[in-house]
Amino acid sequence: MRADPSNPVSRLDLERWALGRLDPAAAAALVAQAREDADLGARMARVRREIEAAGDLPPLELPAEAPAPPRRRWVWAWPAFAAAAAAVVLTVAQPWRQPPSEVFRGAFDLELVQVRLGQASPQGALVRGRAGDRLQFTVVPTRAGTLQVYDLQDDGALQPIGDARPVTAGEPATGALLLDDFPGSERLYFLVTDGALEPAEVQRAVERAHARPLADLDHLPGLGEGTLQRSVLVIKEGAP
Amino acid sequence: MTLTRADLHELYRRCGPAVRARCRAICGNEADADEALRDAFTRAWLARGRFDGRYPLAWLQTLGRSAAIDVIRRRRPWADDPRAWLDCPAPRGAEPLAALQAARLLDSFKPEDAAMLRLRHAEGWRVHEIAEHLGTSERTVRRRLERLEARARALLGPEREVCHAS
Repeated sequence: MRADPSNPVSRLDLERWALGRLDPAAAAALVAQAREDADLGARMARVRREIEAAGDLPPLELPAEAPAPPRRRWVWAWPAFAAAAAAVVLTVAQPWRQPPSEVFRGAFDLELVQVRLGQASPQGALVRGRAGDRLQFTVVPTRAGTLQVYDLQDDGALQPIGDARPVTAGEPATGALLLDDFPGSERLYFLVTDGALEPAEVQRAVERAHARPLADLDHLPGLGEGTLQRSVLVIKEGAP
Repeated sequence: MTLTRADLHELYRRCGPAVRARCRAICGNEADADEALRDAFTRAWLARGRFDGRYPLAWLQTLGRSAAIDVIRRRRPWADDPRAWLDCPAPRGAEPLAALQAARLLDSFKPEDAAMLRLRHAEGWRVHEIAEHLGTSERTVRRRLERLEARARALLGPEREVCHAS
């Protein structure tokens, strides 16, 4: 048997072999194939070395589960500002001492800071949050447009957060929101589009990608060419 | 099926080394690889209701890929030593790209593209392996690598061979 160079053995299959997850017949066939194909043999040896080098795994900690209370809505941190801020940049009521932030690079810069009990900490693409946490964001888009923030819960509920507002290229746009007591995970989408999207349009984008888990749905497809977007996954920690 | 906590721990024991190996290949260091590994399995736990029970390793590697890309997006593991991150020796006979310039060059890439360069040049992955990992075609990978390598020529050095045929 000779390997077909136009159809090489997949890395996944090599990993399954190295992990002992191939059935005995398939594993034997692979080993036999490697005897005639030095390149395949080298790949198998490399994958095995890489997996063995992974060594002892760190302990796995999974989020604690909580009973499901009635679903609540997001609450703006400063509702009095919301209406007045529809056409202007919404800023934080008091300037907070800005810790060094982790900045997303890509379609536009997104800085996220989590504030809990007066303590601020910069966040990345995965936020471990609790009810009552405040998430402060700063978006610096690479082009002018309309900024909208949407929240998608893992039960499929989708809602806009605050009002759509115009943004200017290179100019920071800030805002904040409070986490409610929804116990499941949710993803925040920060969208910069030419014009404001109707919730139905975003809902259709979600439905197009419904087969993908929320944890992997970091981009919403089909929102139109030129849409800039970044997203953050929020998972809830156990009750304090 | 819905995975139980025990099921996922068992998957972690059996498949975790392979997921960690790929995260390590993308991130280039153990600490970031472990963070990506943790995030991948957290995402798996949150998405457990949607997992149909088939091909768990493929499912976990998909989650691991996203997690590792997110980690390098926010950690920029190349910041201190871009050449080491890409396993590129300083080019002979030519003015080497300063470390700060090299880091900024990698900053200008999409994280997925920086990862592609690393998999190719530091880890020696084949084009078809990169294509399989990213869920795209070999042709797309070759084209993207050619563009990336052209932009990163000063960093990679003239001795580093441009995208192989395989």
